[in-house]
Amino acid sequence: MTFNFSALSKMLLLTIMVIPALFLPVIAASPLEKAPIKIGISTSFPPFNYKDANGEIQGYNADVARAICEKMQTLCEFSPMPFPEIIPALEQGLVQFAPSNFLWTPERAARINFSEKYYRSTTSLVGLSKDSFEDPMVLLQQNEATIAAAHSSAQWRYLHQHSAAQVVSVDTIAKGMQALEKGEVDYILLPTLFALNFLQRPENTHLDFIGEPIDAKSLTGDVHIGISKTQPELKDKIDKAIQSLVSSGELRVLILKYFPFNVY
Amino acid sequence: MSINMSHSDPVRPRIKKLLLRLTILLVVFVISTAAVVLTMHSASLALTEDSQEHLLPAIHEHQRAAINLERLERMGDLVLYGGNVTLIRKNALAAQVLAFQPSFHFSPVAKETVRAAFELLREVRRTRQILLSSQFERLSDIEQRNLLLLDKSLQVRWSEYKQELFELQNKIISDATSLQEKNMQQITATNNMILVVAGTGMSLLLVVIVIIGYSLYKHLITPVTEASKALLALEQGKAFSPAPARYQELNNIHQAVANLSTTLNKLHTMATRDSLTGCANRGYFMELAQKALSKVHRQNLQMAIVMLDIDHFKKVNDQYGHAVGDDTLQLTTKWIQASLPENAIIGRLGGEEFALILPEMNAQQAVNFSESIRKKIAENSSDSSTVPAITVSLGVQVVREPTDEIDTLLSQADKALYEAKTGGRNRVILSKESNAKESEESPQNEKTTQ
Repeated sequence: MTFNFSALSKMLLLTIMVIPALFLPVIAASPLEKAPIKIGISTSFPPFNYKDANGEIQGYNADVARAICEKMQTLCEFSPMPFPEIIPALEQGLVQFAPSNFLWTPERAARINFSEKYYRSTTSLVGLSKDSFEDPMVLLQQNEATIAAAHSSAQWRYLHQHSAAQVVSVDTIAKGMQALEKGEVDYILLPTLFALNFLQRPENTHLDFIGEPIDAKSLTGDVHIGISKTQPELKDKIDKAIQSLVSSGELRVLILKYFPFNVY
Repeated sequence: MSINMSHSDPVRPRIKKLLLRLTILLVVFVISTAAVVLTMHSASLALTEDSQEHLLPAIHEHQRAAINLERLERMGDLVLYGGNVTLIRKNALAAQVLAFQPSFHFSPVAKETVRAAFELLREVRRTRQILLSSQFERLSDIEQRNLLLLDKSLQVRWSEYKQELFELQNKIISDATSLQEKNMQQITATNNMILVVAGTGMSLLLVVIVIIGYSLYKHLITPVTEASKALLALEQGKAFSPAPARYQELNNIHQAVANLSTTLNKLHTMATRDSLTGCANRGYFMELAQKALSKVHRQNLQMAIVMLDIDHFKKVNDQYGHAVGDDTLQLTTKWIQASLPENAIIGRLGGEEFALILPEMNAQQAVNFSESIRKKIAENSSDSSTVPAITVSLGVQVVREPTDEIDTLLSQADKALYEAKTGGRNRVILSKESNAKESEESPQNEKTTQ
């Protein structure tokens, strides 16, 4: 009896000692030895994504991406690229996800996965201050008007489908703004929150929103993170990370760092 | 009798069947109660999950909207009362964007109310930008006055609008609170239902247990008690027959007890009775006599012992055959028994010799009784067509001392009988010892009668 008991306790002790050893390599390997997740991001426009004086990528999108990676306990690295290249990069699996202000469209849904919303937005027409009391829906139907939009953006697609005006494709919103200032285009159609920060600057008082935001389903509402379909399990992880950021209040802190109100 | 009945009985169910039935009842009840409780529990969990997935975000949406309304109001105030153009423009733009933010879309009222801010603040911004710029100085007096009036009226409109915002904010907060309350109530109601169902289940379980207990009591314990009573009665020599039991095994016990009782009665009769006359045999008579004597000694009562012998019985056998001899013995027994007092005992000690125990009789009474028997047998036998006329001789002895023993008393009665025989038969003789006692007590001394 005594012998049996001591043998049993020895076995138990041995098991207890061995179990952590089994897990040790797994714990050590998981975050460090894996290749970092690549994040597609453009650096075109504050406050969403831009490079600071040190060349670091900053902005709401960059901070959200970092926070998500932290929640997922994975190493991440930014792959800066112009906006039109991001969806192809996601499709090819060159980047795993991209916090690039994606509105949901059926065309995009066929190519990439969408996360839950990470903020909400509208779309506005921006032009010279003197036109700020005009009706944007009327301007969009003027044949002679020239309207800039970032190539392959939801706004760009909308203009092609619903506007009579001449569409000028630009690589980045910043370039569109430059064209507007130079008088190369009459207006630019862009996400309202992108325009807000730009218009609020003292040097841009000559520019303004033209009327109310555009009332179109494809231009307003939830904004998502694009996720590569090559990694279907990543959507669930990112969604959980976003939920966690929302419920912990961390996302609110990030939002108020960049925006004058809660855009979630 | 009961054995025969058991063979014609229909097949009875076995106890196993009873236990199986009760077990099934219990198991089905417990499982169904547990199933109901579990179903309700999972409904409660689903409700909680639903609140986590939908209600909680909805409540958060309300809270965010309420805070955003606060910000809208503050930005509006800065547009109305801000001191420089840059500040006014910055806040007006932000307020305008917030006025169309999709986060207000959950409520049509909120959506409409915040949109009204857009037009108003755009108007205020334009007016105040002119007021604060160098452009104002270039205006005519009337234009200046009109602009100031416009500014005043816009301030009034903003104050009114702020009241609207305030009411909206209250509404949103109370909506959020009622959402939360509704959710809490639903969860509480479900939990209460679970408690009620579980409580009812427990009460019904008690009922089921009572039913099971009653079944076991009726079908197991009662029959066992019956069998036990029957065995006890058997031991005491009393009659008791257990009612038939519903289940095979217990019915077997009851039948076995009944059979045992019959057998035991038969054995008892065989052991204690004379097979020919039916009266007590020698052994049993001695046992009964001993008991009667003990009682007499204990309670200081009177008792007489009589020995009786059929005169010339051998002749009856020789002359008429053994069958007539047997008939003679049987009839003699019958005649004696017919005259015996209730508590008297008769035993056949062997052959044609009988003994009587006559409680509560003194010597005189016993002699008189014996005499009446002698006469009765003589008369009855001479009247009978089946047996020859016979006579009997009797020896009587009474209990005199507390130390008298049954063997002694019997042998003294036997001596008296012997005297009767030698004295010519067909007579009653009181033993010498009894006679002596009798003569001490009374002067009358009747020794024999004929």
